[in-house]
Amino acid sequence: MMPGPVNKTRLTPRETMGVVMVLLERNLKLMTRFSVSTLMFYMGVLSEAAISAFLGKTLIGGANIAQIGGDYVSYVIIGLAYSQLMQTSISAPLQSLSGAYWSSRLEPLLRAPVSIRTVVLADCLWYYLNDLVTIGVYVLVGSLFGMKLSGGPVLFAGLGALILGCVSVLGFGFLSASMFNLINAKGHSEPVEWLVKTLQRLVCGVYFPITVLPGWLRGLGSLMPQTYVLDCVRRLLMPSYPRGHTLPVHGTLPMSPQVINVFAIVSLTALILPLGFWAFKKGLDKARNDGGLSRWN
Amino acid sequence: MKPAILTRGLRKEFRYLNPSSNRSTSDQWLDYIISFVTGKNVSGLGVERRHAIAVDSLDLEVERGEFFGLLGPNGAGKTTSIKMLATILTPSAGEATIDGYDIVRDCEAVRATINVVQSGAWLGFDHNVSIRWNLGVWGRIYGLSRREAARRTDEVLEAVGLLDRAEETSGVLSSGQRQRLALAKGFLTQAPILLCDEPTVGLDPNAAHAARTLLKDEVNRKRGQTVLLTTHYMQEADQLCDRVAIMDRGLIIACDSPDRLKGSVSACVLVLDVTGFPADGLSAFKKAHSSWHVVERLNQEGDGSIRVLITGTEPEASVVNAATSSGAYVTTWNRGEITLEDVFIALTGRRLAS
Repeated sequence: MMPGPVNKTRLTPRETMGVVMVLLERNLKLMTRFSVSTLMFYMGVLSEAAISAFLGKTLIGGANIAQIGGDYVSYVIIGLAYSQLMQTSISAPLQSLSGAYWSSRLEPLLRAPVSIRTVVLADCLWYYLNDLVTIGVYVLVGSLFGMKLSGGPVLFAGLGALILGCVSVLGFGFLSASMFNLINAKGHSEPVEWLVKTLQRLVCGVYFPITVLPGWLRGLGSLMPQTYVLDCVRRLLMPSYPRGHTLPVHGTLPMSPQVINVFAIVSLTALILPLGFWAFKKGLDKARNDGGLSRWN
Repeated sequence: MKPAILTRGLRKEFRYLNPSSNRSTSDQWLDYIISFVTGKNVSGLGVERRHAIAVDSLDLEVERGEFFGLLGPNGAGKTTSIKMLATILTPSAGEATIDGYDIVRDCEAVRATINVVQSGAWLGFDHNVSIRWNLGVWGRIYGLSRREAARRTDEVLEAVGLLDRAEETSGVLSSGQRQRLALAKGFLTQAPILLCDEPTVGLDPNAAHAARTLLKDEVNRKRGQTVLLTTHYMQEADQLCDRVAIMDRGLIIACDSPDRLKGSVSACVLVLDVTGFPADGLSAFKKAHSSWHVVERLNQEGDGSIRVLITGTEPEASVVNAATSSGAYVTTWNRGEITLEDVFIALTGRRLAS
C-alpha cells in the first residue's frame, strides 16, 4: 500500500464546499435507493394540498375569509408551502444528528477536519432542496384551484423572505437537535420539535388568521418568527391580501406592517439562532463527557 | 524529543442517569429533566443516578515509532482510553498529549495527528450503497479531492483484500470482512500515530494474521508510524508489541516489553499429559487447589493434557501428586512457557477472558 495523503487540521473553504457537495450527492444517492417511499411521500403531499384547496373552495364566503382578502386557496397553499420549509428547519438538524448517531457516523465525523455544524447544515440544505419539489407540487395544485400569485420582482422578494424564514426557524432546529444529547431525547418524542411544530400549526397563521385565536394564543403566536414570515410572504405574493394590520403587533409601532414583520423576524432570529447553536454545542460537549456520542462505549 | 503519546493521571468517570424499563425510551427524556431539576433519584419514575470509573489514573509514555499495546479483559478501560486520546471523550481529570498537542486544548491538531481504527460494527457506512462509494465519501469528508479519494479507496481496499468486493454493499459482508473494511477506512489518510481499538476481533485466523502483518510490517516498520493497539488477545500483544501495558479495572497494573513482563512473575507452568482423568476427579482437583489456574484439554475418556499455573511457592511434584490422587494417570510432565495471560492471572488472580 502506498503512503496515504496526510491528515488535515482544518479544511479550506473550497474543500468544505466539496464536503457539502458530496453530502448532497450522498443524500440523493440514498433517496434513489428508496424510490417507492419517495413516491409515496409526494403522493401524500399532493393529497394534503388538494384537501386544503377543496377546503378553501368550501369556505369561500365565510365571515373570516374577508380578513385574508377572500382568497383562502392562495392563503392556505402559501401557508402550507412555507410551513413545510419551516418544519424542515425545525426537524432537519435533529434528523441529521440522530441519523449520524444511529448509523455510527457521529464519532468519525467529529474526528474529521470539517465541523459537525457544516455536516448538519449540508443535510439541512438537502432537505430544503427536497422541499422545493414539495412546494412545486403545492403551487401546481393551488394553480389548478385558481390560486393567484404576484409575479415579477415580487417573487424574488418572496424568495428572500423564504430564505430569511428558513434561517429564522433553524435556531429552533438546532435547539431541538441539542435535546438529543442534553436530555437524552433519542426516541421519537423530542419535546422542542414537537412543541414548535404544534405551535406553528396552531398559532402562526398557517391555516387561519391568528386574529381568530383567543388573546393568550395570539400572544404566543407573536413570539414565533413563523407568524411574521407567513404574514410577510402573503403580503408579497398574494395580490388580494389585506394591506392593513393583520397581526396584533402591527398597530404598536409607527411603521408599516411589512417593516415590522422584517424587524421581528431579524430580532427573533438574532435571539433564537445563536441560542440553538450554543445549545447544540453544549449537547455535544455533554455527550463527550458522558460517552453519549455512540450507542456503545 | 517529545513522546508520541504521553498521559499523566488520565481519568474518566461516567456519571449518568439510568432509566429503567418503566417508560419507553421515547419518553425517558421527561425522567431526565425531572431528575436533573430535582437533583435526586426519581425512583418512582425508574431513574437512577449512577457513576462508574472507567479509567483511573492512566500514566503512559509511548515513544515515536513504537508499537504499544494495551492488554486487558473486557471492561478494563481500553476503549475509553483510546476514545479520550482520539478526542471523542473528555477526560474527567489528568492530562494527555499526542505528538505534543494537548487532547483537550488542541483537539484539531490532535485529530490531524491520529488515525483511528474502530470495531467493524461501527463502520458508519450507508448499507444501501457500495463499499467503494462509501469509502470515497469518507475520503472527501477527510478533505481528499474526488480523484485522490477514488485512488486511495482502491489502494486501501486492495491492502485489506476487499478490492474485488468494492461494488457490493457493506451490509452483505461478514463481520470479519467488515472489520477489514474498518482497517481500510483507518488507512484512507495517513497520520503519524495510529490508534487501533481491537482491530482483529471477529477475524478468522488467516485474516487476523494478514491484519497483524499489515499493522506490524507495513504501518509500523516500513512507514514508522506509532501504533497504539488495544486487545484482549494475549498472543496478539505478544507477537506485535514492543511494549505492553496490562490494564485491569481502569488501572495499569504492569507495563514493559512482553518478555520482561513474562520474566517478572514468580510463577511456573506445568503441562501434564494424562489419561483416564475422571470429570469428578478433575473438579475435585480444581476445588482443592483453587490458587492454581488449571486449563484442561481432555476428551470424554479423560485423556489429554492439563496446564497448571502455580503462582505460589509449592513444589512442582505436588501438582503431579495431586493429579494422581484425584484419579489421573500422569504419563509425562514438562515445564510450559509463561504467557501474558499467565502474567495477568499472576497479577490479578483472574483470567483475561473472565
